Amino acid sequence: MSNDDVLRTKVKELIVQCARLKIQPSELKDDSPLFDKEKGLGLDSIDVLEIVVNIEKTFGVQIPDRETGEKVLQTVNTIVDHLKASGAKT
Amino acid sequence: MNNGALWDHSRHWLNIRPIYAFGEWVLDSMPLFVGYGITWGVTEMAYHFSPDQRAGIEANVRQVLRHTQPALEEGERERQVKRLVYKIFHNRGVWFADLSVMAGRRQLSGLFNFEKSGDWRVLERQLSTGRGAIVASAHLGNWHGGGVAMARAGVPVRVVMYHNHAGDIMDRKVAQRANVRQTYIDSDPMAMMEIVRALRSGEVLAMLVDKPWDSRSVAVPFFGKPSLFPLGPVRVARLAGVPIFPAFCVWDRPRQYRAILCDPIEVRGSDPIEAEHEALTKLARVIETQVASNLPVWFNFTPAWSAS
Repeated sequence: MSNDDVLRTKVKELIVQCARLKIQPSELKDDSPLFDKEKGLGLDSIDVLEIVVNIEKTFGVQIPDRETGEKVLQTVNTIVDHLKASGAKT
Repeated sequence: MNNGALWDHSRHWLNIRPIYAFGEWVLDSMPLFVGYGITWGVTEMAYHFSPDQRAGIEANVRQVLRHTQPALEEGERERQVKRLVYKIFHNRGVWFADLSVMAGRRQLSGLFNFEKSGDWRVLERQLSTGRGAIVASAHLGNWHGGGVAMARAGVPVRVVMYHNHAGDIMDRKVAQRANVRQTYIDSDPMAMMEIVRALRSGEVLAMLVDKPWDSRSVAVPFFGKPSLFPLGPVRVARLAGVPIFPAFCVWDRPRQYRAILCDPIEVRGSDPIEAEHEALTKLARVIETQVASNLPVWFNFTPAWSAS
């Protein structure tokens, strides 16, 4: 497993745990929109808070403001990209 | 636009933008006794032509009296319920008039008095750590006035709120005059980023926590029966690591407010869900005490126990 795959798996586990989704992390698609109720996971504002706080705890990477949040918290892929660019610890 | 629980709860023939605009104009432009007089008349009409809201308050007051005065004979209790419901409607009129004045152009100093009650130094100490806090209030007294009182005391306040039918324009004016910030959370999940940033920069988040706005609610004891309370405030407190200060702004005499700050509630524990439930139970108990002491200004027009 490459570092990218490890990171991706951890991100999926984190999302499933934070949003208390009733699916396996592996079932989560890399490009599923996090907030779209029809095409994606339909997460809400409390889920955002859980994910942001836990990304910080797990990977040591902050999502400091709304602008960054809007870019990063779109899909699993965008979160992984942000973590890689920020030198996240895995 | 919000189409959730709050949207339905606040549906009323008076809760429309033209009425709010007219009320603001009257209270801002005419002598105060005229404005408050017209408000009294409109409130009297509202009392007679709002059967659903009247029934909602009646049910709530009846349960409070059953719980706080169990020995009260039923006929006497019903007489007290009727009297209190009438008073609550008229106090709601006063609430509207006071808020309209706060939103307008009048000089507020000297017109309103905010007396502090409780140990405000605890909040000051919390803010001196550089982290913010959550102030949790209820539909009791003038919650907007509470925000104004805090801001006037130099506390950086941000109100976390939902859109509603008409009041949000007036809310905005009151907030702008008092230098209170606002964040709407009903339509934008990313608003939570603003909330995290605010808490980290030492702001106080003010929230109304006595109605289950969305599906994330938990039933906790409230006047002897389980009632749904929103989970959001305790979850935000737990995740951000900040305390919750229950706070209320009530009045006994016209425009003489008492801003009550209660002891903080921490949301801590090895089991996060249990910690949230415990904190919510404590919060409901504090609200219960304040509602019982200030029943004539408890403005909950929907039955507090029906949803649970």
